[in-house]
Amino acid sequence: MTDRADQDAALVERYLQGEMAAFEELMAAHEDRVFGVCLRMLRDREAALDATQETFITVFRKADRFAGRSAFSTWLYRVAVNTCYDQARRTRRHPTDPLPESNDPADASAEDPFIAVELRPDLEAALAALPGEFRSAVVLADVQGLALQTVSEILDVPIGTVKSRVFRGRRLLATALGNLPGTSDPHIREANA
Amino acid sequence: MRRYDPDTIAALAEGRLDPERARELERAIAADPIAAAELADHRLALAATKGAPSPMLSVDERAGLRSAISSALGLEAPLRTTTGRAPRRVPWAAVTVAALSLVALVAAVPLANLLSTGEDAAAAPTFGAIEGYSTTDATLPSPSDTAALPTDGLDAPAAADFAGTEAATTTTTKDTIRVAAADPEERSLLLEAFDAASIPPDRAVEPDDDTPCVALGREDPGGTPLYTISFTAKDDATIVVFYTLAEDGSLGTAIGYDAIDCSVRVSYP
Repeated sequence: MTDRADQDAALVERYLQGEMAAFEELMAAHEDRVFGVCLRMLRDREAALDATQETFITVFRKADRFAGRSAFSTWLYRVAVNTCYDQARRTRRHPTDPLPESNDPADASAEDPFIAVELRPDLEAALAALPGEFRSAVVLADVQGLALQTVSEILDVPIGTVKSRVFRGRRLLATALGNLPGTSDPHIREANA
Repeated sequence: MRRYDPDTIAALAEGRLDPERARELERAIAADPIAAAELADHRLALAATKGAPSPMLSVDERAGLRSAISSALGLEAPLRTTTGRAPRRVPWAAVTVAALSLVALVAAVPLANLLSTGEDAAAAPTFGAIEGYSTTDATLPSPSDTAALPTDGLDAPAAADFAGTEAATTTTTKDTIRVAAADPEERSLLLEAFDAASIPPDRAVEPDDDTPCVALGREDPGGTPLYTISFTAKDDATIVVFYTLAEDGSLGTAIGYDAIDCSVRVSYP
């Protein structure tokens, strides 16, 4: 186990013994990465914040279910990814009505969640063009830099499936990067179908 | 039929093959348009994703997240921001505490003259040396304010600089001390800022359990009473310094850590 994994395991142990500060440390250590994954999966800053919140609430309530067979971060990412999937499903099922227009000045930071945090709009647009299962695999493996075995545990799919998704995701991403603006590439249309 | 398996092409793109094998494979793949295109796609995607900046929560979002989680869980005491991997721009409590201490700046303990980073120390650091820099979330006293501050033990030249330079006026805006220890020039700025931030013993702030890196600070320099002060560096790293005073009120020992990973940035002796 890495130093970080050891630290996390110790923090979980302390938290389960009632030390709230340990949970705060876990949050501080992982919240940006969880948020980053959620933002790239959901492509909406508010939704990503909600998913990050849900993720840590779940972790808070269910930390005793963390068996320690894998790294805490692996378990945490798994909770986060599943939360994002749930949220995306709920959003598709119950699209929210747009709020009535107000006269408030536009919030520039809300116009593009990626530009607002100085990310690369071209990359984010290309990632957004990927089908969900490819996007999550590429985000976890290539953007977050996680080992394929870890991604396999997070996504709960065989490692061969992860490889396939990552490799195909890279091809789609490269195509999308080459085609922006607009993703008219047949690879992507086919994959999104 | 594929001549190259996807794992091999991915391994080549990721740089996981030994150089000789990589060169050999690269030459072979160049003659295969399909494999070459696949390799190019891998490389393009990897180049884009590897250097991608990471999204970060804003200070407000981080606070809102804690508030929402605390509320949803019905916690009696709301979750606090700690320093496990806090964003570099989050003003944690200790920054505020330390910054407030800067309000009482006088030159009783000229830290900069004594702190060493392994480089030549800044020559004759003065308050004027940090023109353009100012404190975090706090207002440095204007020259007129300094008259009300205790002057016992003031280092005369530094006190004169503090009270009489234009820099003292320019640093009364709310902002951040922009110092760093990444290169000699920045290190000298850091040292100068320490000098400018000399704090009288009776105004020194003791760290508490929320102070970043406090466990390390209590080990090294250790000693009691232990005091703390912090700055934001040019690279946005928050430097938290722990120091002790000698019996005569001069600096005893000091060590400055990057508040994020607690790596040592400056130390004395």
